[in-house]
Amino acid sequence: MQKSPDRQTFLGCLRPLLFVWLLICCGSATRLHAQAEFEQRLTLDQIQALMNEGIFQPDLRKQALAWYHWAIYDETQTGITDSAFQYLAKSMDKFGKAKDSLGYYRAGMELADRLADRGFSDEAIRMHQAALGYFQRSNNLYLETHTLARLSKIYLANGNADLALIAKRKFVDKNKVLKDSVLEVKLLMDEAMQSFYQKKYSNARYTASRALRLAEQCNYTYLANDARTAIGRFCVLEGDFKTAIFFLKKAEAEAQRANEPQRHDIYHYLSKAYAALDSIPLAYEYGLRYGELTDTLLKREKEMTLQRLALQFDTRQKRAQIQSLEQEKRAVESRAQGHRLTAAALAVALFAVSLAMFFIIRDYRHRLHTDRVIASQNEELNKRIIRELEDSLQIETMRSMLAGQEGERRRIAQDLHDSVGGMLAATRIQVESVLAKYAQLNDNADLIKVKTLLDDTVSETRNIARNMQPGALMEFGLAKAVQDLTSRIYGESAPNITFEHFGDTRDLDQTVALNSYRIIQELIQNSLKYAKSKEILVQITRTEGQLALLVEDDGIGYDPDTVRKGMGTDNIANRIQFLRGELNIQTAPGKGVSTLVTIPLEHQGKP
Amino acid sequence: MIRIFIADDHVMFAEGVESLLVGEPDFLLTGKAGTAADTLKHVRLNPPDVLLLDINLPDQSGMEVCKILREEQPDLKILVLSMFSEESYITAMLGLGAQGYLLKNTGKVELCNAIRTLVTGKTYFCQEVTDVVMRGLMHSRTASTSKENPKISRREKEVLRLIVEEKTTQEIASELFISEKTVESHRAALLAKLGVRNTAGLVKSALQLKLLEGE
Repeated sequence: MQKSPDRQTFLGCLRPLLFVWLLICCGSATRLHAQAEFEQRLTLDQIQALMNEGIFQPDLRKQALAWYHWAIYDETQTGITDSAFQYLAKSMDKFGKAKDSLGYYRAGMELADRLADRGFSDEAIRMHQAALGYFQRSNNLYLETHTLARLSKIYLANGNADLALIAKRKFVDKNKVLKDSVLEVKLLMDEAMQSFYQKKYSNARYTASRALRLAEQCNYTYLANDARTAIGRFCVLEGDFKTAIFFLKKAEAEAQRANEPQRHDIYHYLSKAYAALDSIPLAYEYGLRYGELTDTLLKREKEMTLQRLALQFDTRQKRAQIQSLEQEKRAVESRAQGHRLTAAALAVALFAVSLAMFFIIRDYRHRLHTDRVIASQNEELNKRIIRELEDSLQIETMRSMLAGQEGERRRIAQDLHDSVGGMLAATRIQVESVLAKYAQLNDNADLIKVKTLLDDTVSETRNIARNMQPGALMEFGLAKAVQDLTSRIYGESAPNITFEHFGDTRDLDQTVALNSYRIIQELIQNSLKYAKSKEILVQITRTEGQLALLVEDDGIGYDPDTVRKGMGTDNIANRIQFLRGELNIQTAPGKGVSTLVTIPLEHQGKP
Repeated sequence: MIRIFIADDHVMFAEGVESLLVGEPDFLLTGKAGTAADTLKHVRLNPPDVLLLDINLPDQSGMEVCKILREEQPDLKILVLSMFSEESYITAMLGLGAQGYLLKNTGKVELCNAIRTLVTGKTYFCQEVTDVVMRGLMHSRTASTSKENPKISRREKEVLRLIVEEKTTQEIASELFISEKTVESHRAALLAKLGVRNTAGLVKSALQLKLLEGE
């Protein structure tokens, strides 16, 4: 079954040629191409390259494809499906925007399968059926058959045996025409898993090895590795650790050779098998590798690489610039020193020779002086350029920090508002519908308690999301968002808060708007927390080229000499520096606090 | 028969709403949609009497849907059913011609009430929404009546005092340790607050309204 390496490379060379031939000759070539795009397994580098291309060209379809592969990659490597949901949803979104229906439904199929695994079978069935409709309309027999197979599986898991049978019959019929071996391998694997769940381990092993043989015949490394891993897993559970290690090691080697992503499950079972055989060092090593892959912290780091790469590139360019300037400065210095030496030597020599040369020497000295002045001026200039560069480097770092923080907040807030909030609202309305159906429950104290608790949870979730990311800011602009913010402060003990704004703030750059919002939010927070004030005035004034933010209270104030740090002022100061703005605080004990922030607008977008 | 259509991308929520409505003899559910595009398609094809509309739709905002349908079908009643309780969203939706606004923690009685009220040509808002709108109105009342009793910040007062003392912008800036631009923006805010057009007007109303007394 093993092919010699020569034959492999030969085939490897041949494959692109075959592909070109197919493209030219075959009418349905594009469809085949599209299939390969989804079915091959990309490495992390390839995915990043794809994402890069997608972002810089910009090409929505490539981005969608990158998200799709990132989901599959991440899941294979770590076994954690949470991110896969998000990535697949993003992929669908991008495909939708790129108007690529095939990709849209393709990503949808994957998402649906994962939904089904989590128990959302209704959603999954709906999505699969939408995909099925599209594949039927577009005469895509291959994907139609695949979707039918998946649907049948979900129906079966859902307990809907009749529909499962109908779907199964349909796809068996279709597959008679299609004769797709990928599907057959997958079917065998499903069967094996089913036997496994029924604890018929030897059946499972037998079926999986049939799948392995077929996959090897057709040269599907990825599927073959699936089968090997499964066999390894069954063997571990049966207690046949030696065989398990054989298959798992083989899977590991094959995956490496084919440049496939590492797989957490291989390491997991290898570690178990070695532990059972008392090979503790090996068990430990594989356990470590498993841990590395599933470590969420490391995963986040991986996610950041793209962003960081771009940033590093910028930083490196700036460093190079600074270095070359420093070199120039050194060159100028050494030249000046050389001049000085010459001057001394000449002076001694000429002094001895003749007094008549005196004027010439003086003339020369004079010229030397001018040289030195010019040199020192140059030096000053270079120093300033270096300072400016360092300054902008710092702002760049700060910008990426703030952007990261805000991006994170936005993601969490959106998840909270849309998915958690949405699900809570759905739960709430379902409770409501149960209450409507069974009138006798209406007086049930426990149920009423549940309802109240749900209400509180919904509004608390909403509050948290709103504080993290004001939806109104993107939708209606700075003034409306601050209006929302101030109108939420009311009640007996709350100070009377007045908000006024002058000039249009709707066309502000988003970074300026968001940071201004945060500055105002923080200043109001401070006033509420420390000032014990009765009145707070919040004012936004936009004039040509400048935005002025003012928060003023009539509270206890503070001594500016003793209280300087803390109170979130670092955060405010960072944001102001980032916007190249100025901060001006007027306060004294008992005199309230008046904080004025001015932000220049002509710099916006190019700090 | 009141014909009702539900537009909400959360399937579970839409189903919940549906199950609240099906028992009512005078309601007829004409359909459900999870996107703005589907909603527009269905409502155009088979116009309902009342549209239950979520703001947060995946493809386009519910605001957009509201705007389009308001023009195309002036008789259609639009009842917003949203998670957003911010004044900005509420006023925006009302401004776009929605007749009702409920938050998603609504119950059967309120929902049915709202639908029946809308059909008679009246508007309906839940208590929390009413409160938010009322607070907003109170806020804006203080803003519009501010002509007689304008709220002037301490900084503006300082600038105003120096203006009355006939100082130039440059002098004011150096005296208060702020930039000339900032002095200008204080001045602009003062002009707007006092409803006057120039420095003379500023001086006049400063004296008339005794703004600089009690310092």
